[in-house]
Amino acid sequence: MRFTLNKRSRGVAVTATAIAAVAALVGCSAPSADNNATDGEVSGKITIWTWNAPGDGLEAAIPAFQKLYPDVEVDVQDVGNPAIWEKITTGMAAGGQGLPDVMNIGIDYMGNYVEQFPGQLVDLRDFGAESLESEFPSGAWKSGSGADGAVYGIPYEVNATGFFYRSDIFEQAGIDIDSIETWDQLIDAGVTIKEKTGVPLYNQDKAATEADSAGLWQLQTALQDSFYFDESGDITMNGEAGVHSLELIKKANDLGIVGDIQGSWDNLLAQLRGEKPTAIMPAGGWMAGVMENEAPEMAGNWGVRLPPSVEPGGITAAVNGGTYLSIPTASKNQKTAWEFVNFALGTLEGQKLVYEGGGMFPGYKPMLESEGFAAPSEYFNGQSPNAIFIAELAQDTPALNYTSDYARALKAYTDAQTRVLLSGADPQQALDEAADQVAQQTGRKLAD
Amino acid sequence: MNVLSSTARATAGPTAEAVPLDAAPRPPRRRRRSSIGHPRITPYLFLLPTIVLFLGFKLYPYLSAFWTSLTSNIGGVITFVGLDNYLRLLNDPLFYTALGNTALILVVQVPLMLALGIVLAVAFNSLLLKGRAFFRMAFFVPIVMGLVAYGILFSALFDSSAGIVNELLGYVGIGPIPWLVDPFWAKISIVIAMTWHYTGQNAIIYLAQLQSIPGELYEAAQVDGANGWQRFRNITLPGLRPALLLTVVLSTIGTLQLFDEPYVLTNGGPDNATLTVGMYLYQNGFKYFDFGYASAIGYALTVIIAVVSLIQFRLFRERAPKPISLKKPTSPKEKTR
Amino acid sequence: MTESLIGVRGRRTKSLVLTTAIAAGAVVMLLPFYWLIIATTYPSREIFASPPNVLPGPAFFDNLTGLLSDTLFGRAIGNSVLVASVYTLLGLVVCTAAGYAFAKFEFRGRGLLFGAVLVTLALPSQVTLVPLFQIMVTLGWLDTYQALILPNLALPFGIFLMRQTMQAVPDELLQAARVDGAGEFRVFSRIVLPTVRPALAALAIFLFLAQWNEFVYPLVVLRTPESFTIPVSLASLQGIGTTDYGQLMTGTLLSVLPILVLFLFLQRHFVAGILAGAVKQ
Repeated sequence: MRFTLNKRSRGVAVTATAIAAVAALVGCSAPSADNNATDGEVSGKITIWTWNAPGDGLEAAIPAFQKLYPDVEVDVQDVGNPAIWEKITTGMAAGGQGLPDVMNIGIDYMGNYVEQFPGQLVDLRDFGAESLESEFPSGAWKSGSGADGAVYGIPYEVNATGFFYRSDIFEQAGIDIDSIETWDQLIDAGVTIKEKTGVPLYNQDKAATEADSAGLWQLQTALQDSFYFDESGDITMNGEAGVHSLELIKKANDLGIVGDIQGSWDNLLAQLRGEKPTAIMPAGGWMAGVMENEAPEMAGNWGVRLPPSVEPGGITAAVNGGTYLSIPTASKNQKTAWEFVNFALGTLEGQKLVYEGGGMFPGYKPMLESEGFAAPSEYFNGQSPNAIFIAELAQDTPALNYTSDYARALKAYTDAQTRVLLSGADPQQALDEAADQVAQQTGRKLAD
Repeated sequence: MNVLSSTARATAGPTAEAVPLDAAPRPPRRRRRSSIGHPRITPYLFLLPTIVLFLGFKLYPYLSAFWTSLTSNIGGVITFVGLDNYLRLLNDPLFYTALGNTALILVVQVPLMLALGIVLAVAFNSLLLKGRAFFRMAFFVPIVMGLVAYGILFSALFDSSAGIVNELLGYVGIGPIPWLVDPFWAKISIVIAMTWHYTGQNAIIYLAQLQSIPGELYEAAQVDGANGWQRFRNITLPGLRPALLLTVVLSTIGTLQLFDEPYVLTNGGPDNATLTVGMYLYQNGFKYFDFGYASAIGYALTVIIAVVSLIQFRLFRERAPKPISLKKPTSPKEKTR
Repeated sequence: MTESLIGVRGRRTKSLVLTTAIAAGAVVMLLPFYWLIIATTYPSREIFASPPNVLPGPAFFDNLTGLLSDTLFGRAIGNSVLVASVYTLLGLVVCTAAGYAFAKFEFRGRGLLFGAVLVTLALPSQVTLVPLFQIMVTLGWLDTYQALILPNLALPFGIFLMRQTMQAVPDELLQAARVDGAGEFRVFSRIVLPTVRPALAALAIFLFLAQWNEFVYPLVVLRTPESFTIPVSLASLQGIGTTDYGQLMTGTLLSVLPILVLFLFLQRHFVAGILAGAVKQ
């Protein structure tokens, strides 16, 4: 879901995804709650689990929602991320015990929850959610749906990849950012930037001390229309695209234009503020807001554009993540929960309130097309980050199949990347080993 | 078994002190065991809470985990798969990586820590050392620090760019050392952290044992003209043997189960350089939700610990002047919970 | 005369060298604590300053009040104190009673039971996390104090320590009391317990420490921030978003401080307890 974003404490990060889990095992023996709340009244109280910024967004939609349904009370709980995964998983493990009525779920957890805890998320088609499908980018919609078309979540935040860059540094190095069309050209430019300004093209957590140090590879691989797994769940991480991405990463590293910074939120902010400078910063759409809030003094120094393609003329869009609102079958007030979700995400009125309140980049097409949404931003020198993201969503990127083994594949990949970056391993060989390991651990096939 | 077995006493237990003693004028007996002179049920009553808690919160979970190790979650359904998880383990290169790392840390860290512990204990026991109470305390306090606090603190200290350890080393012209981000140095970091955490605890155990060595032995040796080293070699070390066995076995078990340090400091990385068996178990269970496999790793680890401990007992026993009882006192090991 | 003077001088030199060496080691051991204390007195962004801060800064009370008002850390302290105290008291009872039974009685199944306690030392505790969670779900004990307190009451180490210590209590003492008409519980409470008081103090510290620092298991069974213990609360201070290191370090210090004070107070007993446990065969 997040891109270059990392957490400070690996202990906590591990635990979070993790403990959550206590579950799978337990969950299967637990009975799933009966699903008879579909026809209930729209009244009473609903509880929503989310975290800080998305929580602010949903909070902002409550007063308008209550005008429609005065009897409904909506309690938005900021559970914290990553603590929320642990809570959702333990709740599911307990057969839905203690779960709220609406849950904010990350795309990288969606597949796992659906596969490990079958029947625990409401198929929102029960409420006619399929009518919203055409209003959302197809990739984002599919990642929240089951293979049979069941709708387990409505896209809340849709993260197209923003390719942010330091316009002042490019200028100082005498490079026209607009002339760069491919990653190969970008790497050549990186050499010049390093020579002229001493600033690395980008920074990486080379030892992969944080779990999600794979963002760059995932982006480059997505730009070649590939991922860890293909649509049928076979392993594709060591395919041509994956290997090419890792070769690009190795090439940049060997040229000495990549800084080594341990992944953490503080280090991310230090990069945004120019304290640990970087020439580029590919990240999810949410980064635009973080930049404006956390590095206001850098106004005018950051620019944003579409990412370069890997192959000349190739894809220049990657929808790399997002979050969903889902309703657990254990909810006693599903109908009301749905009405709130539908109002917040499925109406222009709700979407506007949510966007103003939390700044999550929406996927709802009428919202994207609405007036002023893609207005130029002063912070970005009159560029419009939103316009860039809309352009990316228009490229209709394929849905990424996270499967239930994303965590294993991610770990195997980051280990391979570490071998390449720290010990000079061969990308093809490192990825073959990684793919074999995932196959051995999961019983999945290697794609041909 | 007992002359005192009146029916009234049969119900006596920890709360039955008010029960009148009907056989008070019993002839005094001098038996070695006090088991003569109490109702049969008494020990069971004293053990009752332990037994109940043990059955509910230890035996059942362990048996349940064993059953889990014979199952696998296939498409959301828990399925009995026999020994599949154990067979998979035998062919899992990462498991061997974890075993190798664990063995390496064991072979380097435990001797280092125990040797330091002995040196410290001898120093603490020496009248030449001023301020002994303070120093004993200073070396012991690291043990009070819990996992989370320990992790936060050491990550900050060993941070390769902003950490104070590199900052200080910089003043003497060393470094910067890539502590937690290089496969080699990450292992060193783990060894340093463990040594910091547990050395004082072992030193205290040795100190306790040292104080039980009769002073006359040293005086006699001095009269015979033995120098410091000879006295250490021939009196101190043999005298420490029981405590050595205890600490070797417990440190070995602790290290084989090693989890805390890699968990908070390196997350098992970089590239699995600090992946231990305990970490691998945790990852499979709580990151990948593969509880069957995780439980299998746990039971494999148990077998390894049992074998290694037995070998250590055997070795110590053979070299000891006389057999040492297996029922050794234990040490403060909160780790082993 | 001259000889003994040299002897005294030699001793002094040796003493100085030894004390200096140990002091150097102690500095290394205590440095992390010193750094932690200093860190709590600076605002977040100055903690990792270069060159490092050596003297305390002005921000300790800001960090402290921030921590207590922005988070539920105060509540967590209360939870931890309560849980650890109750656990310690009950644990003392359970472990002492069990240790007494193993040390002073012969009965059927003693070897088996004691062996079972031994075996739990070799089993990695992570294995039981899931089944324990399952039990707590079944009992409806998620988010409760008893879920934290009960499972580890019969701490194997505690049972060992008490068994070891009580073996040193002379049988004659117990027999004499029985002859004098004391019931079994009175023998235990009036004769045995007072003679093992140092070991009780040591055990109390261990029990308190163990519960105070327990992290992974509480993380699993506690779900609302109101019920968090200190380690779980500390962990939740980190996460996605800006970590306030000033607050985090202050919380870390607060998590160590009580246990340090407890240790200082009980240090003498504590070492005595270890002596009793380790020296006795």
